Amino acid sequence: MLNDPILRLAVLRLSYFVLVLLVVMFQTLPLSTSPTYFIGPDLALLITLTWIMHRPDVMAPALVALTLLLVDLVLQRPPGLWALIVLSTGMFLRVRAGGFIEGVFILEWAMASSIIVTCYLVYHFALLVTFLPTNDISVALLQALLTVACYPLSSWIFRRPLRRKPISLNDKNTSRVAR
Amino acid sequence: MARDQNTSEQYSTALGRLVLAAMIIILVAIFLFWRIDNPRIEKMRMAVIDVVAPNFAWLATPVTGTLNLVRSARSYKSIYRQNQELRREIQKMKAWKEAALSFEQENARLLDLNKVRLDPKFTHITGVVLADSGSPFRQTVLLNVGARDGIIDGWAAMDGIGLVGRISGVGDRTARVIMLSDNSSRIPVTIEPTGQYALMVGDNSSRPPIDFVENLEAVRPGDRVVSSGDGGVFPAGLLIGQVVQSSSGRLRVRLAADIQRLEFLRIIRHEPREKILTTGSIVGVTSSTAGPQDAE
Repeated sequence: MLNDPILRLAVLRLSYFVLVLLVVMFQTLPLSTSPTYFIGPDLALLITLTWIMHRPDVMAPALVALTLLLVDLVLQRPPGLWALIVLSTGMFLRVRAGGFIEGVFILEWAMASSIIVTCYLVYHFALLVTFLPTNDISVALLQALLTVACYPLSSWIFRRPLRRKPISLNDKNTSRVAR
Repeated sequence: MARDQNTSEQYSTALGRLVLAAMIIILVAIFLFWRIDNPRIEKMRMAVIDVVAPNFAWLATPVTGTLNLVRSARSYKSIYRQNQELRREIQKMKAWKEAALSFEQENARLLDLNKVRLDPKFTHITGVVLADSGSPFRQTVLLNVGARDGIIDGWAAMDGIGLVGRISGVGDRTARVIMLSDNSSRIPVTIEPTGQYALMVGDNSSRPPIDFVENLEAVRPGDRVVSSGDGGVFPAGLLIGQVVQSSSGRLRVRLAADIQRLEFLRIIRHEPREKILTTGSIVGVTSSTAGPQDAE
């Protein structure tokens, strides 16, 4: 359908942005406004990491940074901090992603898990260092574990839509130009 | 293997690194700037939400509609039992209604005797809840009224019965309400009938605890909690809830407002009390200047 690689890249980038925005919209729906004890996985983080793992070429730093900054703003978090942490760890992952996706799934999962847990720990300590009010670290770690637990599902869901096209000579050239 | 080299080479170009560095610097700058000069960035945040949030409505309508449908379908199952219960309750209520009517008459008589004028300033604006905070760590809701409708930071938000929270952050078309249960909510309250002053401190639970009570022995479960208006930001005398004692012995407030599911909120218009800046003067000495002020 989309044969032009530049167009396909743009469509994927746009769909990442829209997807994250939709997830955040669902999160903020006022279905129940009382304090809940149910904590879900951080879906925006999950989507971001899965996409970086599967399509490092799509996830440009500017795209990730701006999307997550918007999420920070909407979710009333300290603006920029979470985006910064996910961006730096994500770009660390981005350089190494290709090897994991071709290897065993367990390794991919382990890598993603360590990044997720790192993100939460760094975030917590960054809040402590800047004297911002923090939540209980056990709650944050619980959310990290839930996110880790959901990673295989997310990876399975996105595997097909994010699959790379078989590389032809022509394709390679144009993608290099596009970048 | 060949592809691996290709990719790692692909993402560490000079331009790519430059963009990444720029993004990191921008994010660090935003965060630090927010930490140092909070209000300005928060204003920016409200402006962004102002653009984004009203667009949530088209998503919210079908989802909440379906959910309400499911909820009402579930309630059909138990409709007979509910009906019986309601009948019983109506019987009880009839007795209460008689009592209430007699009290109302008595109250009217007493008010008339005292020539009390209830505060005419308490008018309200009603807003629809657009979105909640979306995270388990914050208790805020977003309303569809904003600076355009004359909303000002610090005004009280109530549902039909009790206080829900206060306005914190006003955009042009939206306003954010920090609920009483939020971690950062602190409301000065009075505990009636003893008139103890205290502070209600939100802690992300549905029953916020009370702190800094003057005399703990004078407070007992069941006492009414109303806002005290200390500090002048907040109107006094708004119903908040009832004192309850948790199993650990701590005093908490059961909120009168139903925060389970908020759809509409009333924002109470409130101008801060006029401050008395001058000291009192002896009657008769400067009566010409003091006269008009006293008349008010």
